[in-house]
Amino acid sequence: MIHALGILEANALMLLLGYFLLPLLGFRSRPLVDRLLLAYAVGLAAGGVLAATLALVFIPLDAPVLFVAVVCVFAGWWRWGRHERSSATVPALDAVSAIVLAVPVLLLARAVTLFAVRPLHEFDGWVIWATRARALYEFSGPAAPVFTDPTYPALQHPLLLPALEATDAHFMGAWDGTVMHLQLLGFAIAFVGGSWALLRPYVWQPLLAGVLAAVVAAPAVLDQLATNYADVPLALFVALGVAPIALWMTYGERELLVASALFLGAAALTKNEGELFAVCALAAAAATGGRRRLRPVAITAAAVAAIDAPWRIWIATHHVKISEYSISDAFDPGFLRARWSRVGPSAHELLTQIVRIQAWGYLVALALVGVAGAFVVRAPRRGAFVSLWLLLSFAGMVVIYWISTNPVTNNLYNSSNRTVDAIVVGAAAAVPALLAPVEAMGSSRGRAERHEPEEAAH
Amino acid sequence: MARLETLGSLQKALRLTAPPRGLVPTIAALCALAVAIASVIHTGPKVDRRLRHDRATYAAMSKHDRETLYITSLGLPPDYFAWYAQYVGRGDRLFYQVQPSGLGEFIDQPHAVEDVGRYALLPAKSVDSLSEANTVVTWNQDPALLGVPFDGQQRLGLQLFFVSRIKK
Repeated sequence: MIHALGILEANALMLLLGYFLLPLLGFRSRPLVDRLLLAYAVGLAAGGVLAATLALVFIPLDAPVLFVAVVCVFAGWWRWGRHERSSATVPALDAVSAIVLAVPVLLLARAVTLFAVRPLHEFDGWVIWATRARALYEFSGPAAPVFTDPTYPALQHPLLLPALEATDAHFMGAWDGTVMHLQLLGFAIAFVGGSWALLRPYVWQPLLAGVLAAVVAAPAVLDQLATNYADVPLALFVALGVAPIALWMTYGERELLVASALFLGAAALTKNEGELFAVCALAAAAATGGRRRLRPVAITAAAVAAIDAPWRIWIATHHVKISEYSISDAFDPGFLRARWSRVGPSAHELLTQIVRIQAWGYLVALALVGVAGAFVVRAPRRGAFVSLWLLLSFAGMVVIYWISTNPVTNNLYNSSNRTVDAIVVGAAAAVPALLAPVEAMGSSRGRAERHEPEEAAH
Repeated sequence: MARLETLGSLQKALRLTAPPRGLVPTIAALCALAVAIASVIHTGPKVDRRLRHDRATYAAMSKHDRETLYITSLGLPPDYFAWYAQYVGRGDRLFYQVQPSGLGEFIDQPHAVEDVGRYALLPAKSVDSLSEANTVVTWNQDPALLGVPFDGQQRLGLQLFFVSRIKK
């Protein structure tokens, strides 16, 4: 119980970090509850990025360092942020949304009671992720040979999740694998709260509440979150990063791109597939947004790259290789031709996992309604963006299985149910954005008219 | 028209936020909401049952059993690792000498012991060659078979479980 309090303290400080960061990053002001919900999501992502980056230079994000970070951000907020009051107009919470929102809230509350006693159990959860987290706690950084020698598995995975767990261990004063899952639950809370607070001014809120409920109630989400694998945290960050881009196509609000940059950057540091999903999202935005949107998309891409760069530099300077595949093989026609037989089974199995109702409920049907709906509600850019992101992401996943040196059956059997998480959750979570009206739900008519639908690009 | 007025009254009664303007956007949003709620109804109760069941299972276990579940679920006895941990620590580079044997459907005993040791015996680090190691962790084998000199050795009773310091 004492250890669980340590995790709570660490996350409370990350909430404060996010709270003071909100105006500094350009997020518009919101009612207090929404501000706190968004602050936790922003704080978790920013705290995770900070922990993962500082770890590379062997500085642990322990209590003193996190406190100093909060004080620094507070000083910035005091100087530049506290008077900035560009407000998002947020509609009042209606009865239907409140009832529907009760579902994820109750499920997450139930999950707290489980995650507080859930031990490490699933193989990769402790062999890969907990070992890396505990090593970061013990050594303050990615010490050799734990993070550099192929004796240890999955060296290519970046450090955000283990660095956050190491931070929790510093707050606990010891490593305790039996309560560490509470930190994983933080990702689900950040996803629900962050999506709700960020998207509510722009979308129809009963639909937003329904989609968040459907995502949290999908069996794969909480089941996999309880395994200490990084796939669901990755999926939740990707979802938080993709939906705002779709909305930005119409509303052009800067805060939406800032959110995308932060959450896609955090996704890139959560698991190596995160880079793929982020690149696909930014490429899809560039391809479907039109020439006027290229510059803001390029700036967002630069921000994501800046977040990811320290890890990539560390990987390069320490000559850490991905043991299962080499990206350069994807550009070798001979290699690809020789392994062509892997493409069919990979695509088929990934698709099978995506449409599994036992794992995802009706999230895929929901995403299809959203994409089709975007075209009929005259938001073709949003529809095209999400469709292209999905196609590129799926193709990217197939390519990874195509060039992998692992036996294909074994590879798919061990991972395909998890690697599709970001695709399914990202697509479903984008539905409220896809079907958002052409003017923001809470906006005054005057503001809405400033934005020509699907054309605004700030 | 009367039907629209009825919908309007219902919307006010429920304090429901107005859906997007226009018939087509409204229908699209309502369809999506219906699918989302159908999904919640389909999966929500199952997830809730699963959470309650798992909570009951794990809460009934002792702290020690929960701490070592990842070891016992592999089919290994956990207490040997607690014994090893008394004699290894920061700065140690461990080489595992493990009795070759199968263990489970997807892993053999040497790999299982090494995997557990890499996590459980931190901050001691693992290496894959004897020449890089300064300590040998032995699981049901005779350390003398390695042919290296030791300058200190711990043995678990009369069992073939050892922690041996390599003489440099």
